[in-house]
Formats: sequence, structure tokens, C-alpha cells
Amino acid sequence: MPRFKEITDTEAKDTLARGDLRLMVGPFAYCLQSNETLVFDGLRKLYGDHQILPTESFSDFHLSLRPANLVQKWRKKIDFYFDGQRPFNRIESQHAYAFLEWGMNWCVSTTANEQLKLHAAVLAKNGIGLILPGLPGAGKSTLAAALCLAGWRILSDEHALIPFRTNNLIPLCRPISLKNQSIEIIRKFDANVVLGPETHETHKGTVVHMKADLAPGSHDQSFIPAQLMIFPRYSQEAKLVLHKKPKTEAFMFAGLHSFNYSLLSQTGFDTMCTLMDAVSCYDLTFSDLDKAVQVIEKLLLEAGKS
Amino acid sequence: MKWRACSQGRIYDAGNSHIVYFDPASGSTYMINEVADWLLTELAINPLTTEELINRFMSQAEEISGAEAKTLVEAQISELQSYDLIEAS
Repeated sequence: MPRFKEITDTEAKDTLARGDLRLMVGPFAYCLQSNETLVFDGLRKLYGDHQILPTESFSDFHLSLRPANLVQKWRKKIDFYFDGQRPFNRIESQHAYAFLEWGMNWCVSTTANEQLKLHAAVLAKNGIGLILPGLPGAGKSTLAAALCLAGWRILSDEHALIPFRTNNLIPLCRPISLKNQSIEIIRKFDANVVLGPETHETHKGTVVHMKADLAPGSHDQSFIPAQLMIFPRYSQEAKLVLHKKPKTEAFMFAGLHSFNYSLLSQTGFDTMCTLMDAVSCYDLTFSDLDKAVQVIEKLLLEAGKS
Repeated sequence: MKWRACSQGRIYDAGNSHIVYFDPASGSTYMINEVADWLLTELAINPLTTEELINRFMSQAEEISGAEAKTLVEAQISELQSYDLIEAS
């Protein structure tokens, strides 16, 4: 299968405009349609290394970002279509790229219940999976971005996908969403970071997405066993504090903030039990990304020895 | 009035001071302490009154006064009742 960057700009633009762009993102195939320049530019910049499927292939999700009619086009308003339906309110066309990313997340969050889905950033190094659960604003995406730039492989920025009754992680490599001051923090962390279109004045402030498939084998779909679970909490000016988290607390937090733990009932409980038996859990408060990365590298080494 | 366990739940015990309790009847999950876990185990065997539970707890717990045992057991009965994990019979 060719990668998205291996087709010409003209071909890519035509394919996207026709609604024939079928992009592999982890285990899912997205069929995308849009004439919006921002969407095209963002996809080209951030999804160049993703494989594309032939036009007649099956797609899990059909998404389109387009104006509903000529009046809306003139007003620079577009709609997000999911399988032909409009689940969200109309948006400004300047928000198109950020909304596409959110929409792609939403597809996985609201469907794909064949595995337990935790709300977490997920990374891997040396064959060891790391789960970073966290509420919005906890700094999990910023920390994930820093780890990614420090050589870790991103498995997901948003979803820890865990097959039932295992501690395995299904890779779902997507760009990392950075918001507000995180954008500048990551720019300072690595001046060579590749960022997509910057979207201002969204309901989350300014949003930009970072190319995340930097590590070799970023799109390898082999499962990776989770062995570490770290609950990050960014706090400005805070000293770095790391301490072991009781597994029962970790279970409750990660399970109850998951997308489908309750829906899965006993299967969700059994899967969480298997996962929690396999991972070491920590709380990490940080403000300095370099120090946070260093301490996580140490935990990785310890996990590798055990 | 005797208390009895409403359902046979599943637990996740990592050896901490609390356990995770899954109630298959409601599909809900709770974090409960060791006393609540002990109460559920006792009530799964036989319905018991609050007094009986306090007496059993005192006989099994070391160095605990009657007042402390009463406070602990009554608090956990109240919590378990609020979760619908036990009921009066």
C-alpha cells in the first residue's frame, strides 16, 4: 500500500475532493472528503507517512468537511459529516483542520467497542507500553509530545485500545493535539517539531497538531504490552514529584474515565484487572519537561529489568 | 433487622488498603475499604444484624474498642447500603 506522501499533490487534492481518500490510521480506515485548503494542507503535512487504500476499499468511517450549500460557503461555514449525518453544529471554515482531528477522535470514542478504550495518551519504547491517563488539562498530550520528540513511539494521543482480558495496546498513531501554552512549550522543547495548521479561537483556545509518527515502525500494528501507567499532572513552577500510585486508585481513575468501561460491564472489569496486574502505576507532577522525560526513562529501565 | 448482600460481586485486590468491587447486578464499580470488603464477605454467607456484625468485627480485629468498631461498621453499612450492595431483610 502506498503512503499518502507518495502520491502527487494534484492526485491527493483530487482524491480528497472526490471523497476517495482512504487513510489508514492504526486499525481503522477513514474515508475523507473535503475541498478545504486547510484540511488538505494539514493532512499532507501530518499524515504523509500513513498508508492509503485503493478507492474501492472498505472504510470504517466516512467523514466529510464541506459547506452545506453555496450560502454557507460564502459565509465560510462548514459542516462535519459522519456517514452522511451532521452530529455537530456548523463551524467556521478556519476551524476545519482542528475539527477534522476532533471528529476522527470522536469516531473512535463513540464506536469501536471491540476493545476497552481508556482516555489516555499511549507510548512505547523498547517493547514496553506506557499509558498516560489524564483529565483534560493534566498535561498528558504535552508530555506525550515531549516523549515522542525524545524518541518514544506514539501509539495514541487519546485512546488506549486494549483487547479484552489482555494488557496489550493496539497502536493508533495519530497527530498529537497541543493547546494554548503547550504549543510554545513544545516549540521550545524541539525547534524542529513538525506542526500542522494553527487554529485560533476554538472552544479549547488555540489548537495545533504535531506530527507524531517519528519513530521507526510507527505504523506497525503489532500489539505492545502495557507495563507502565503514569498519571501526569502539569503544574506551573512545580517541582518534579513522582510517587507510586495504589493500583486500586489507578483502576478507578483509568476505568471510570474510560470511554466504554461501564458499557462493557464485566468484560471491562476483567480487562481492567488484567491490565492493572501488569502495570506499575505512578503519579507524576511536573513543570519541567526535560526532567519529566528523564524520570520516565528511568521507570522504563526499571520496567525492562523486571 | 438483618443485613444481607444483594449480589455476589467480583473484586480486584492489589494488596492496598482498598479494593475495587464490581457489582454485576448494576454494572457499577466501587472502591471500598477493607472493613466494607469484610462486611460483604460476612453478609454473603449469612444475613446478620448490625450488632452481630459489630461483635464479629471486634472478635476478629485486634486492639479495637467497642465504640471504634461500632463507628467503623455502621459507617461501612451505610456506605454499602447507599451503593445498593446490601439491603435490610
